[in-house]
Amino acid sequence: MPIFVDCDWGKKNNDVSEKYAIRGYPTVVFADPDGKEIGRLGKRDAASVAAQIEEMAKKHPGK
Amino acid sequence: MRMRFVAAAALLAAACGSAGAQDGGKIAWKGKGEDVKAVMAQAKKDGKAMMMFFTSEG
Repeated sequence: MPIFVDCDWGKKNNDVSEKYAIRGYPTVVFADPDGKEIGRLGKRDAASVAAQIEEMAKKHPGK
Repeated sequence: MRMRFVAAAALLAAACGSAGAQDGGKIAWKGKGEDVKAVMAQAKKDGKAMMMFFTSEG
């Protein structure tokens, strides 16, 4: 599930950004359904991003 | 000569057509204008992994 978290330079969603130790923008974090971080976006080329998303989706296909 | 030109033009048109179809796709982001925690709770309920895009639009 893709979730857009607008932090508005620290004015919004502070608790969520602190939970994942966000230090800069943009940052993409992958988390399991329980909210546990399972990875962060590495390479930003299209093929790598798609591969990483697919890997995460396979591990957690949803109900 | 004319046939080569027609074949090349057809090949170019096909390549442009396939390139045009690649619009990069659209992602239906959750959380825009919504309570992020509620969206995360829904993801947990649905058993879905999350891809969270932290940014600043302010």
